[in-house]
Amino acid sequence: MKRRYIIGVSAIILFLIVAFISFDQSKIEYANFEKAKNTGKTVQVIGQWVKEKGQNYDPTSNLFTFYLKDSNDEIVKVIHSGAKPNNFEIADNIVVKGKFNSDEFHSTDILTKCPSKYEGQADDLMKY
Amino acid sequence: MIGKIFVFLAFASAISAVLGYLFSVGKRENLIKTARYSYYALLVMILIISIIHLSNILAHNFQVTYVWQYSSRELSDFLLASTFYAGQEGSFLLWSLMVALIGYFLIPYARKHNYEWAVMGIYSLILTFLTIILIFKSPFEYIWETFPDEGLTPSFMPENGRGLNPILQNYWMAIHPPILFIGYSAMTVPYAFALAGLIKRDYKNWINVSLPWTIFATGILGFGIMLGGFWAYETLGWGGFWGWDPVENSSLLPWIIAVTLVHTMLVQRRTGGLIKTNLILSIMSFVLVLYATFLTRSGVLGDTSVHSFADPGKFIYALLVIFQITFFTLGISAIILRLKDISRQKLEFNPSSREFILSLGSVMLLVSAAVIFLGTSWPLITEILGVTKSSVEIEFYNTWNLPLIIGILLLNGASIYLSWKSTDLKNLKRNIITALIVSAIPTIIIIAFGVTQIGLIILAYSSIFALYINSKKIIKIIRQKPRSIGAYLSHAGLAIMMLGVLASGPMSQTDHLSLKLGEKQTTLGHHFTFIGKEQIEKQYPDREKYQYLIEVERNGSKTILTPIVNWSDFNAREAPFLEPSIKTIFTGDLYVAPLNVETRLEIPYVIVQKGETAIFEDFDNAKLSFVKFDMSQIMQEQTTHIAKLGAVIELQLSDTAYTDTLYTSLDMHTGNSDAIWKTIPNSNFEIGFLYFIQNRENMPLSKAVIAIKEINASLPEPTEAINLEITFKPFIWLVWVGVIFIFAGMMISITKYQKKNQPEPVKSISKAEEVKIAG
Repeated sequence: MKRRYIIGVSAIILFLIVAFISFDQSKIEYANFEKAKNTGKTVQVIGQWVKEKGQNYDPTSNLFTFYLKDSNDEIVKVIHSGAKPNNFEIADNIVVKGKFNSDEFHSTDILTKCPSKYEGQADDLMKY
Repeated sequence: MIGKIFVFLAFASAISAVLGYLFSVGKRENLIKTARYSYYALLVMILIISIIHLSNILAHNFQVTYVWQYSSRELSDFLLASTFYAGQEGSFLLWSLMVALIGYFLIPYARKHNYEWAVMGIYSLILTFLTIILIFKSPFEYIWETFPDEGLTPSFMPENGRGLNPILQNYWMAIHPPILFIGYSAMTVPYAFALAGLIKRDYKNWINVSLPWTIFATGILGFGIMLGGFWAYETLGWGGFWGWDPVENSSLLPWIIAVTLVHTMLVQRRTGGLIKTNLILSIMSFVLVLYATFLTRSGVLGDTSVHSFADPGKFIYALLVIFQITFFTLGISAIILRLKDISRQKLEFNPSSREFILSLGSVMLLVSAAVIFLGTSWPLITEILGVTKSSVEIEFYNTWNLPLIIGILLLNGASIYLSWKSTDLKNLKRNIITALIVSAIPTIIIIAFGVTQIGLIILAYSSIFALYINSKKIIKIIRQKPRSIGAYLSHAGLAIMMLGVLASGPMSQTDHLSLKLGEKQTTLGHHFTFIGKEQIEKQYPDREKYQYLIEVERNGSKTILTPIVNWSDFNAREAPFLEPSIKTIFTGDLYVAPLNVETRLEIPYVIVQKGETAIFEDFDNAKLSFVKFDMSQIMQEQTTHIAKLGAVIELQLSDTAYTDTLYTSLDMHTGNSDAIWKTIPNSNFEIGFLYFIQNRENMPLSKAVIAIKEINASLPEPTEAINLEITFKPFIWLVWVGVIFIFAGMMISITKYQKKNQPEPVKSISKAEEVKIAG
């Protein structure tokens, strides 16, 4: 009877420790470029595309390059390994996941947040 | 207005059913009759609400905000009908409708098993909450109520609706959500039975009564989830059928708990153990359904999911939280109250018994659920704790679930050779060793095909092990006891599915192509040629939808794949909606997903809006600022239908900068533009305003296309190019076959346990009760 409890409790504790460690390793914080540069860790940065600086997708290397301005107005060149997201130009906000390599942010994942206007706002009423 | 009245009537009927059932304890058979009729009234009300909602949609009644927001005149009939549940209000209504309908079949069943008042009392309570949501999240609100500040008169009828999001415009929209919601709704039943058992102090028989329903709910929910995965794969172009997205995860959680519950219920039937576990799991599978609706509707995961969420408003947010807490607390406190009553007899399972292995497998399922719960809720948890918001990587889920699924498959295979209570170890050893040896042969073949990662090899080995043992068992018993093959069929399905996951995921190959019209390129053993495009669905003025014709050639045989690029008014045609095209052969799927299309001009050019600055990357990084359009000369040549449109620009070269106005001659009849080229000072180049991209809805957002070329060089024709992602997914059909096996197995099992499940001899008092009710 007691043996069963000891085994059970130690299994749970072991699980929690392993879970916590693996969790800590695979969690990705939201950060700005400054923090990303300082920690060197993989983070998620939310920002806006800097239109004036253009963007370029190279299909042969499958790299998409653009400039992103974070919440501190810091502008950084982002090299994303993958295609240009389909609604890139119209996105309000862009979330990139990756880390710094010298002065460039190398992103592995990109998420575009589209304007909420597609949910239907009052000013759309008159148009339809 | 009439719809809202029926919502209130539904709410009143639900309350009446709850009170009637709960106060009918004992011999008040009149009351139970009232309660039952209240329930039928509730069902009728919800049916009427649904009919009104549907007819609003079908009649294009755009006065109703919901109809205006989610539908339009440009939808085919069945897509129009499926906007019933395109928005939150409608999906809550669909949920209520499914719960109410399932209740209609539950009443006679519960009555037969002498469980009606307790089960239907709890069940009606859940429906009461759903009708409260319908009151506050009404699909019948008028636009002048939704937008009170716009000064709309109460009869204002918009010409057309905003329409259904084009990514949802697909036949899957008519299939996936209803099935998923039947699954969600059916999870209400095990919860109601668990609470009814607690109320009636029956901790044993409720398992037998609840089991067929639990298997039904699990089967349908799992099927619904995977249909969503197939939809994502086939038309949304996400590349795979599963992405560990929060929305997918949150629907998976109640499913894993329900799967566990089915197994622990079987253990209790045989051994009498795991009483509390079954009560808790029944409660959790329903509470996690509520949690899933909360996560996906509350907007808390907005930053981390590919699904988009609308902010439902603070009030509904609070209501959903209350909903979860209420039913969680209700269930847990019922268990605590009855804790002393529940048999304290502890059972030690013999390690060589089937119940021991089933319990061990259940623990693994629960660990998997815990890991997924933690990962999915992490953004929410960090937000509540007030620490830096973070989320977890996809790899986290794979790393954790790989050893768990391997364990589950091995245990499953072994469990089939085990008997309840205890097993003869000698036979067991021989059988398992045989199976391990037999499974090694196909595993070696799989390694020969290039699977090198040790974790994946073990996954393949354990899948084949489970598949072999389950198939053998099916062949053995199919003639004598066809109803009993359900479990083995489902587990064989799981093994097949895991082989499919293994083959199509880690073993897939991907490449990117950028094809100009007429161009041919080769990758992954296929030749791809972009041979043209075709406009489809021309009858709908709200879209310009093209099939791009990509000829695929391999060993001389040719097929044409048709990825779709759809420019829709839904987003003012600012970015296209894309759909992949798939070629399925025995060895796998060739998956061609469009990434974007571009018009290429072989000379340096920029596309600019008023006030913007752009760079000619291929022309010394010259900077061009677009000051404004110049309309002053537009009326000059009225008689010829040619308008001279100007663009005021500022050009900054490496050594100098100047301001100028460039003109283009626009033929008002054909829409063709002709640039009037101007020499760039001190160079061999000239600059011209090629044409403008008109934004009819917002003129200031129109764009100018400005190019630079050598003086007197001819202007090259613009060419179109499509960027494609090409993936070969080996044997992905194994996943679909596996899913069908899992589902079919569960449906067969329902009949098995329903048949086994003749009601226990009814006590004399309740028998009298039954007779009176019937009379």
